[in-house]
Parts: sequence; C-alpha cells; structure tokens
Amino acid sequence: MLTAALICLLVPLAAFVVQLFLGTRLPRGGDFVSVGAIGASLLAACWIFWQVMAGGEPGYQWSMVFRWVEVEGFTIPMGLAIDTLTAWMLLVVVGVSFLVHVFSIGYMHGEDRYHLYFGYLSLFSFSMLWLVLSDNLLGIFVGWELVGVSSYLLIGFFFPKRSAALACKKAFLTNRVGDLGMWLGIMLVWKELGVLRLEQVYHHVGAGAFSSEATLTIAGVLLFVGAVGKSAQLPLHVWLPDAMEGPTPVSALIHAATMVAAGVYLVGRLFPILTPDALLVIAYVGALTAFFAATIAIVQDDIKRVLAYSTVSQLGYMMVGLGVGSYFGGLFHLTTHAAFKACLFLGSGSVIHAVHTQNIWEMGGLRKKMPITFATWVISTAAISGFPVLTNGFFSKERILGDAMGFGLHLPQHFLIFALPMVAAVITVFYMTRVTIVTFFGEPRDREKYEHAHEGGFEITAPLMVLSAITLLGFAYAGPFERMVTPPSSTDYAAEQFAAFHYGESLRTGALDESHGAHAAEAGRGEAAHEEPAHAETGAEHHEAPWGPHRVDAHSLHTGHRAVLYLSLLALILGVALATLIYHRKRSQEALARRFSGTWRVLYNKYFVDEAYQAGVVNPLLWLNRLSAAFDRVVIDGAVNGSATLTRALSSGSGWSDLRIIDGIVNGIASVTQVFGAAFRRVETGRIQHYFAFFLAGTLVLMLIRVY
Amino acid sequence: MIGLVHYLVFAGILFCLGLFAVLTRRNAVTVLMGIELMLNAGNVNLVAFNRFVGSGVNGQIFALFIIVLAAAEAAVALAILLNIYRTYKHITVDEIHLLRG
Amino acid sequence: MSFEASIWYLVALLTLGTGAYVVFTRNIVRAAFALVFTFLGVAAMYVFLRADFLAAAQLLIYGGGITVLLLFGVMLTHRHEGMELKLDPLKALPAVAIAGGFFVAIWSAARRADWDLVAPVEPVGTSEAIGSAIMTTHLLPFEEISVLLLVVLIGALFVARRSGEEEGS
Repeated sequence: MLTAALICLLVPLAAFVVQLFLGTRLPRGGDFVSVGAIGASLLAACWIFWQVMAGGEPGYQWSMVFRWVEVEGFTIPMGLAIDTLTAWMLLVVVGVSFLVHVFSIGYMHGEDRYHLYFGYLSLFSFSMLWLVLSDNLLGIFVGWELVGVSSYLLIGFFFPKRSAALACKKAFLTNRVGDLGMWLGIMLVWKELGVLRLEQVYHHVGAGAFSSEATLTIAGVLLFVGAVGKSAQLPLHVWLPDAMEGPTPVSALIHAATMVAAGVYLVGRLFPILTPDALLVIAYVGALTAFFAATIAIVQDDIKRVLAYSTVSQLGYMMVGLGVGSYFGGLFHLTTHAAFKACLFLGSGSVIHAVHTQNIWEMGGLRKKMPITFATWVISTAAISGFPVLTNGFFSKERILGDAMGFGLHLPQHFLIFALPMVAAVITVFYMTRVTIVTFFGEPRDREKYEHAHEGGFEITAPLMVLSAITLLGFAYAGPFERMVTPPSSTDYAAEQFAAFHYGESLRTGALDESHGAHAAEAGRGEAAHEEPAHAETGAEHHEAPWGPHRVDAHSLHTGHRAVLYLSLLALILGVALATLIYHRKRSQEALARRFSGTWRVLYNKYFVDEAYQAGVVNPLLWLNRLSAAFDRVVIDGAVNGSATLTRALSSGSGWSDLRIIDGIVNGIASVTQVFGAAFRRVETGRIQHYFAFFLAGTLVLMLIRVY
Repeated sequence: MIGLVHYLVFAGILFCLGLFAVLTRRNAVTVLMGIELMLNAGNVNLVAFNRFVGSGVNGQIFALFIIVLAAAEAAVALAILLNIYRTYKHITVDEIHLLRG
Repeated sequence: MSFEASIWYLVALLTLGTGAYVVFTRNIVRAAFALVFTFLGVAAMYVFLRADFLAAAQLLIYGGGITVLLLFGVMLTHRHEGMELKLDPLKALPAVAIAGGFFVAIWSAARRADWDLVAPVEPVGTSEAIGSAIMTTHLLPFEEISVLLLVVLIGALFVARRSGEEEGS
C-alpha cells in the first residue's frame, strides 16, 4: 500500500522536475513523460481503489506517519492516510488528470513552452494528490497552497496576453484571502487541541476538548473560508470566470473537476467537527452561490464563461449538500460533477479548437460538423440537468435537492436553503440548453468558421468519449459509493468519551426522533445507507448528536425525496422548453435583452461584483501602496539622501579646513621660514666691511661677557 | 710722568681710528691705510709693554716682525686691488659684493 | 709737567691728528701724505720708548716703502673724476659705536689693570740686542720671514700681472 501511495504521489513530481530541466531537449517536448507519469499514478490509484473497495469496509483506514518537525516539546507529524473517500478522490483526480493529459497532446500541439505546460500539469497532479492523501490539516494546507501555485502557473500560461497575466494574479490573490481564513482556523484548532492529524482531531473534538461550541463553530467557519476561496463560493468567486484565460484542458482539470473540488473535500473531511451553526453557514453560502452564479450564466456569450459560472453554481450545490447533512449528496456530486463538467469543458475545447472562437454567437449548427463532440456534449448537459437514471448527475443532484427539501421542511425558517437551489436547477437547465442550441443547432452564424470546423484527432475525442461513458454508468457506482464512503462516525473514535459532551443537555433535545435511535446516531453524523442501517448495533450506545435543533435525522431528510423527483423533472422540461423557445429563433436573444435591459445589464456585468471589489478593496490598497511608496521615497530616501548630503557637506567642510587651515599652517610655517630667511639673508651683503663690523661687534660682546 | 697707561691710551685711540677707517671708508686703499694704522697702534702697545713690564727686547723683535709682515701684506693687498680695479674699473668696496647672499 | 712729558704730548697729538686726517679726509692723496706724518709720529713714540732700532726700521719701512706702495696703489686705481670720496653717514653710526666700544674697552682695561710694572731700564742701544736675538733665539721666525717675503714678492707679481689673452703680453 505504501509503495502504491508513494508511486501515485511522487511520480508526477518527478515528471515535473524532468520537464522543468530537460523538457526542451526531449523529443515532442517530453509530453510522454508527463502522460506516462500520470498513467503510472492512475495504475497505482486503481490498485489502491481495488484494495480499499474490495474489502467492503466503510471504515477502512490506512495511514503512515513520519515526524516532520521535531523541536523541544513540539512535533509536527506529517503523513499519508487512505480511507474510502481517499480512494474515490484518487481515482477522480488521477483519472480526470490522465484524460486531460491525453487531450492536451492534441489541443496544445504547437504551442509555446509546450514542455513546461506538461510540467505544470504534473506539478498540479502531485499537489492535488498530496492534498488528498494527507492525513493532517497542515498537510492539506501545504497541498492547498501547492495547487494554488500550479493554478497560478497554468492560468497564466499565456502570460504575454495581459488579460491572462491579470487573471492568474487575481486567482492567486483571491485564494490567498481564503487561505488566511483557513490558516486562522488551523491555528485555532491547534490552540484548542494541540493536534492537527484528522484522526486525532475527530477524537479530541468528540471528547469535548474545544473550549466551547462557539469556538468550534468559529474554527469550522474559518476553515470553511478557505473552501470559499478555493471552491469559488460567494464572495470569493471572482477568480474562476477570469481563470478561463488559461488553456481549456486546464480549465477542465483544475477549475471544474479537481482543484475547485478541494474545498468540498475539505468540508467533507471536517464534517465530523462542524457544528450545526457552521453547517448552516455553509449551506446558506452554497445556496446563494448556486443561485447567484446560475443567473449570471444565462447571459454569457463566451462558452467557457458559461461553464465557469456553471461550475461555481454546482460547487454551491455541493456545499448545500454537505451543509444540510447530506454527506453522500455533497461528495458524490463532487465526483459526478468532475466527470460531466470535465467532459463539457473538454468538449468546449474541442469546439474552440475547431472554430477558433469562444463566442457562441459565432458558432451554430456544429452538430453536423462535429458529431462526437456534439454527442458527448449532450450527454453531459443531460447529466448536469439531472436527467433521470441514465446520467450520474441525476443521482447526486436529486439527493442534494431531496435532502435540502427535507431540511427545509423540517426547519421552515431555513427553507431558502432548498428554494434557491431548486430555482437554480431550472436556471441551470435553461442556460445549458441555451448554449447547446446556440452552438450546435440552427444555422451557422459565421460561414467561414463553419467551413473550417472539423472534429479533432483521437487525443481530443477519446477523453470525451471516456468521460461520457463514465457519466452514463452512474447508476452502477452510485450505490457502492454511498455504502462505502461514510463520514467518520464517533463510534470509530473514543466511543466512550463521546457521551461526555459537555455542551449542554439542552442541545440534545429538539427535533430528534427518539424512536429512530439507531438512525439518529448516524443522522447526527450524516447519511445512513438507503437500504438498511449498516451500523444498527451502535445504536445501543445511544449516541445522540450534541447539536439537536439543527441537524435533521436521516428519516426526516428522506421525506422530501419523492416531491423533489417530480419537481426536478418539471424543472428539466420547463428549462428545455423555455430555452428552445427563445433561442431556436434567431432574433430572440436581442429582443429579450432589450425588454429586460436593466436586468440583463446587471446579469451580464456579473452583478458588478468585480467593479465593487476594484473600488472597495483593490483601489484603496493601491492607494495605500502609493502612500507607502511615497513615504519611502520622501521620508526614507529623503533621510538617506539627506544623510548623504550631510556627509558631503561635512566632507567638503573638513576638506576646506584641511585646505585652508592645515595647509595654511604648513604653508604659514614655510613662509615664516622664508621671511626669516629673507630677513637674515640681508646680513649677507657681500661687503667685507659689514662682515668685519659684525665680527667686531661680536668680539665686543664676548669681551663684555668675559669681563662682567 | 709718561707711564704705561699713557702709551696704552694713545695706542688705543690710534687703533680705534684705524678701525673706524676700515669700517667706514669706501676706497679700498684708504681701508688699507686704516689697517696700517691699526698695526702701528699694536706695535706701539707691544713696545710700551716691553719697556714697562717686560725684560729684554722681545717686544721690539715682535714689533719688528710685525712691521715686516705689514709691509708684505700691503704689497699683496695692493696687487689684489690692482686686479680688482682691472675687473671693476673702480675699487669702491661698497660695490664689490659678489658673495652677496 | 716735565719737558719730556710735554714733548710727548705734542708728538702724540701730532700723530693722532694726522691719523684722524687720514681717516676723515676725502682726498686720498692727502690721506696718503698725512699717513707719512703718522708714521713719523709713531717712530717718535718708539724713540720715547728707547726702541731706537725699531724707530729707524719704522721710518725706513713704513715711511719709505709702504707709503710709496700706497701712493702707487692710489695712482694706479684712481677714478677719473679727481679722487673724491664721500663718507656715508649712515654707515658711520655702527662703526662709531663699534670703534667707540673698543676704545672704551681698551681704556678701561688700561686704567684698571694692575700692571706689573718694573723699573724702566736705562737706555741702552738696542741694535745689538735685537741683532743677536734675531740670530739666536728668534732665528726661525727670521728665516721664515725671509721666505715669506720671497713668497710675497712672487705672489704679488703674479696676482698683479695682466692676463695674457685680454691685453697681450
């Protein structure tokens, strides 16, 4: 197991290093290195998956720990852990990554720095795998940052284009804001518990080590802030649409299937320690995001933008799922979304590659020219719309909506958490159908582009087909997933101490149904199996959720399902019909836009969020920046230059004094000597009589001295 | 009576006159004359001492020799002066100062 | 004052007077002639001091030889404008001071010193004494003087010769 894990994790890293240093010298730019590496990882992931799932134990656990930092009384361990969720995540991440690698061979053919692109893809794969395999919060954070860096590099791959450079910067900075919250959350957990390994965290929280429920809520929300950034939820969603500047395969891999899912994954991992209040926050954020993004997607003209906002919206769905307590709903939607969204993005990539434009209004009637792309596109659109049974999206989306309705019915004050995603579902169908019709149906709008359009090569069509196949087989793996991927229940950790919650007995009252004691144990922690309570025997210990009023038990959640089924079918039909009606005729877009011009303007400009940020956040920061720069220039440089000027003045002063005074003294001595010399020289008259006179005078003096 | 002191004073005056001439006169020949005066005064001193203090004739012999030397010296000095005269066309000691510093 | 004393003072006065004339006159020729009388006066002094031979020698050498010598010197080096000399008063002052100083020194020495006087000897002709002294006790200086005179003779001739190139032989 360890070998497999390490192969899976480290081979892509090796590929990255190889590509970085040797890429230019390898034939074909070394794409086979990266593809080979991810292929190896895929094999390793498949093996791990088989090992985990074949055992049939939902509580499967494998971990390896090593001490990373060891200082006096302070150790930070690092390690890998594999459980059922990890196994599925591995498959999803490596699988989609592999398909994207293959797709990129065709799509990125002939691009500048081709080798570096593949290197970055390998780096990303490594980073995401690290995130998923890590067994502690710090490791997840490291992986978090690494995927952020990879995202930055890949979004900004076409950095000579100014919009791309700005986009990658925006992505990174927005993520940083989220990361700040996450880091604070980690610090809070560390302060309260002293441990960061997830297993131990669950244990300690279960044992009531947190100082209060409020603190735990805050920690949960802070950690969720990180997910808000990474998964592009409101209000940190702004980077994802701009991230479309990157190459389309990158958009497929990072910004649809994997990296943005990391936030959902984190919430999933935190599920056991999130208080009802925290979960409520998560659910609301998700619901608002789902609705908000869907409305913007209606009016976008860039095919990738539509898909980007769609991703934001679908991530909101996942958050709603987890927020209402649907562990299966949220996480399964993550996997299904990975499949069909990746397929949609790659499909759009195929289209863009064919017609060399991203504007849907320059396309039209492409279904005849690109049949494979069209077919896979339709399948994936059906998935996202929740087409019954045939698509995997149906299972995940219905579960989320169903559980949300149950939640809403049970706690009517929070009915919005159901209503918004429900409406968003209609809108989702609508905009997806819109794009499909405009792109693939009708008369071609740009004849020249249409003539040139053709299906891509095998590298492009094969991944599309694989992904659609996965999408269609959803019915097969939904069941196993639900059975195997369960939230860590308190029974796995320090069961005895679980009862010793000291958050107050009052919280144990509420809507909890006593008769469903066995279910209640699971309901408090998440979803039970549809068929039968797999952990019925644990009910004997009567572990109730400590937070009763907000958590809804499994039975109650199920109440809404049938209604939701009908509602979503209705939504499907409604959405398709509306879109077809409007867009099958040429002039309708403009007419509609004119009639609802105000609304249209708001939606088209993304509710002016970017402008608000620019004015409220970016510009003040830039102003502060200019202020600091001015301060630095005036005060600090002024001080430095002033001291330099002072030194110069002092030096010139001392130089003057040296020149005038010192030299003056020296010269003065010389001239005094000269004066004296000149004076005495006058004695040497050359006249003998003078000399004789001096001589006699001297003699007289001597005589006088002698006598007296 | 005329005693030693008289002679000494007399010789002193004569000497000082000669000295004055040496120091002051501009013509080189007159300077020589002053030198002769000084020498004569010295001689007088010697002879006076010989008479009043000494015994024998040593003083007088000394004076004799001085006279001879004075003559010799005068001869040489005049030879030099002639030379100088030929070069400078005058013998004003004031204006002969080649060794002037 | 005895007769001898008064004569002595007269002679002294004569000598000193002519000596002063030599020193102060502007006329060189007159100075030379006055110098003769000074020499005569000194010779007289020698007589007073009973140095007869010396007096004779003085007259001969000084009065005869040196005077002529000086006169020759005067003649050969006279300036074109009639041998007039001016005495510079400015230079005179230090000279006066020095000469005066010397005179004061001599006079005070003469007056104050305790001369070891002996009784004056009776006049005896000194020629014989001088002659024998020269030939015996003071023979060396005597011979040296003769050599000296020879040297002086040659030397003076040499120094005073006209150089061959400038003026021909």
